Amino acid sequence: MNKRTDRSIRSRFSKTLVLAGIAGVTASGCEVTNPGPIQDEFLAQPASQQGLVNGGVRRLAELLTYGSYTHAILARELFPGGQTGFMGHDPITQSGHILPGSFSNRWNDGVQARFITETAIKRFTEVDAPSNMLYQAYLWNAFAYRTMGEWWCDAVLGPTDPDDTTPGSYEQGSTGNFNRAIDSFTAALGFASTPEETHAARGGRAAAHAWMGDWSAAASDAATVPDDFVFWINYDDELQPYYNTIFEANARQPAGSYSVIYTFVEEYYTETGDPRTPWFEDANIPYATASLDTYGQVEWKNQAKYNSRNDDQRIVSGWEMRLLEAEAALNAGNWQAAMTIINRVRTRNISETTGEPLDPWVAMSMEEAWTFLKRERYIELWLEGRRLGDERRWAATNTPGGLDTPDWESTAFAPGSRTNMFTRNPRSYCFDIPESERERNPNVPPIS
Amino acid sequence: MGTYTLPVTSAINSNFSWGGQAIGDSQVRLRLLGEDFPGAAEPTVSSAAIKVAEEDREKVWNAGFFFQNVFDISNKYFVTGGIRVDGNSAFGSGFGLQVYPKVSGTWVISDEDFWDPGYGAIKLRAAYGQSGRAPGAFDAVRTWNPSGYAGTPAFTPDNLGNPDLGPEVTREWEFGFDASWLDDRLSATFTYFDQRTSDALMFVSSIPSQGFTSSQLQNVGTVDNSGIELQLDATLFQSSNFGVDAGLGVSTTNSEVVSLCTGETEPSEIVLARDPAAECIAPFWDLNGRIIEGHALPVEVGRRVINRDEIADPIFEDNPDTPAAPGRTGENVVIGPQLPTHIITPTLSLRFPNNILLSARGEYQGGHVAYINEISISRSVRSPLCFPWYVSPKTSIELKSETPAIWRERCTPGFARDYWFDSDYFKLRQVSLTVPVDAVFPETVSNATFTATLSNFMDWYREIPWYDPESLGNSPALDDGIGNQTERVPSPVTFRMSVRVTF
Repeated sequence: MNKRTDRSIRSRFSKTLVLAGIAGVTASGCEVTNPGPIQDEFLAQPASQQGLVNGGVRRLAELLTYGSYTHAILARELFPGGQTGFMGHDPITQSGHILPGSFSNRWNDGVQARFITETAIKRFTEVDAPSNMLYQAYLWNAFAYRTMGEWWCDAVLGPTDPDDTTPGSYEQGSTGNFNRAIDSFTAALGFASTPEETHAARGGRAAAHAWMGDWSAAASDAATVPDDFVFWINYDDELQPYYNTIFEANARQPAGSYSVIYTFVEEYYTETGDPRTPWFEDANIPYATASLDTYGQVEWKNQAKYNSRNDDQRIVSGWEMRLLEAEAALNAGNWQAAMTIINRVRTRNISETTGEPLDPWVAMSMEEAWTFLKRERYIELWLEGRRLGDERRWAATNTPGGLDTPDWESTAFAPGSRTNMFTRNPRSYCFDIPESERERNPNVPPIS
Repeated sequence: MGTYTLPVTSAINSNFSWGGQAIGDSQVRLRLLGEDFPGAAEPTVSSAAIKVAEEDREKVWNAGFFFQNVFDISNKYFVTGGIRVDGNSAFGSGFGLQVYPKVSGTWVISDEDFWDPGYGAIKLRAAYGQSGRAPGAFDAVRTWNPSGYAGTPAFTPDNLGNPDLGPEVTREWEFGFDASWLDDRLSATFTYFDQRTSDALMFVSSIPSQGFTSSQLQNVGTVDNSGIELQLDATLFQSSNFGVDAGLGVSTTNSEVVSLCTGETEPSEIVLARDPAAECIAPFWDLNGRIIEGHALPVEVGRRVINRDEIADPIFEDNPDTPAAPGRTGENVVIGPQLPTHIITPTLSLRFPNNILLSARGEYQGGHVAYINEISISRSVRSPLCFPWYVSPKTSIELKSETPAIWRERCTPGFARDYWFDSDYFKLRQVSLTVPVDAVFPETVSNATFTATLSNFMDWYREIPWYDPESLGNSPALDDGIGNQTERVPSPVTFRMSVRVTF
């Protein structure tokens, strides 16, 4: 065999080897595992468990912080200053109306908070995770359902198994959300190991029971929560998605989007000095940023309940529980007992004006007692994203008593105002299921 | 890769090629950011008070092999057949290998005995082939994003995943000719193409309530694309001192979403994107537009006023697929294609004594629509566009009673959405003058030319009132997409002068 032939054979052999290698790689499907995004299969590992729960809490925080500042406009806890775009709202939302099918971002936050925590529940259960992990997963899942129930007019209820891809079913009203919230709060209680953990779950469940009209269960749960207990959703200045947005929208960085002018607390705080509804003026900054359609520049009177991006927001408190007990008493027909509780909530507060405890409310009838209950909830839960749901709940059950919601429709705000933006569209009391869900989910009807 | 040439007969040669390739694409991206540097030192990321580091690693393997044979018959007919087999690590786990065949033929008809040389030199060609486009590295798998929450680790849903994800396959027929006449003073190249893309890869929005709110890449259906490409070049005048050359390029593209059903099935029952058994999906958003069966890929949808010039409140065009809802009347009406359907590029070149050359190139794009976001209206601010219709433009947004319907819609805050315009436009892309300047350089310079070029200095728009449709902003153009103009800076007019010297 001469050298030339030998080289030729080796060349052919090496070519055949290379081709065989390529064919082998091709036939193997070129399997590669990439780093970076976390693949589903790794979620249940002990090192991942807290991260998975935190993901659910983050989405709930995003829902609550952005939802609450929208809610404050709709509930007339704040008056719009005209800011659109960054830290503002479009003119229609500023007028108190939610366009059907809008606010998909808030919906996405809510459904992801639910989905992530349901994924945690399933994965943790499969690997027999520590009870604290399961407690957290159930608890935050319950708060996600409760918030969706309070804020959305209707519900989409899918399988609670995150691996079941059956599209969720449509349900008018919020009953399904609250039932699931109650189930998850109850499951969380099964894993609670400290009094604080129990209070958070029972307090959350009490509010859900109230929505379901089960006042006996609501009062029973509420009674177990001490006055000074508070459970928060954590906001943080690390990233804008979970800043305290009510603060940020008025922090003059650069937005000062809203004012308490024309709201109930504008006069109320001036008259009483109630520390629960603080606001302030700044002579150097007379107006909110931007300008309000049909009105002009709005005097800026800024809320002072939240004073930094890090200020957390209450989602359960002992004093909220007392007001639930009072409402249970009113539903039971005992308005005198209700007033006793309402005034205990009220008079614990020392007026920033007089330095004395706030004056108690004096009711002479059931209707007046309801009015004071509604007013005290407005004050106690001011800017906590609860008012709009309260109004919807009370309207659905035709409770007596007046609301302190300002009548902006018939207010002549300023000389020369041409038309009233608040009369253009009806006021909304809840978010609508967004178009993105209606479009892809065949069980949800189109906008109507 | 190897080739083997075999003379089959004295008139037929066969050239067989085979080969393979395995490409591993491994990308590592590191981003380092530092903020708040101490004053004295030369700043480095390490010296910053706040440091942020990001790392992405991604690897994709694509391996395949091919066989191809070219038959050369009498040096007049060329027939090529081939096949390629591909595997890709980004395919879903339920997806195997992909086979792409191709065949083409060329006939130099002007070499035939029956051809009169006076008809010019003409080569006819036809081809059929298939090609594929693979999904990205993570598209097939369900993933979670390590997003963090208040300084703690947190995972949020990222990609839904699709184990059946495979490549989209495009098969294309192509016919055409290359011709020249009059001693190559007139030449033409013409191609007609007809593409059908099956299992087209597009990002389809998931059902939000199922937890994954981002869009998932899916093999969604069938898309057709057809059109022509024509290039004509002519030397209109030629002498030793003067010359005039002209050219005209015409290309058209007509796309249609034939079906949003997987495979070759016809549109039938609309079921869900996420349902594994799904065959068809409802219209969705992708490619900065709306993907709808029976329409171009993609189309713009929105609201249209139909009684535009009437002195009355606006009436909106109905969308038969979307019943009108309070506050949302006339939504999602198909407005038109988002991308140009025809492009025309004329060129002209004038040669003067001493080889001074003056040339110009223009471009016309048309057949598409554009939305101009009149952001001041959406923010309740007075707009100059509406000044003719305001009762008192300096102080009020109240409209005159004689305002036509279209401007009532366009000038009402929170209401204005019919800012759709026919997007046809023409731009004189470039005019350049080239002058040989050898004489001003020493003899060691063999060649020197001076060129002055003026770009984008003249344009014409059919309807668009104030935006350049090619204008860019701070972010890349594709962030907002063609046809969705917001706050952008138009592409600049430029004047450049250069001297090219060859030694």
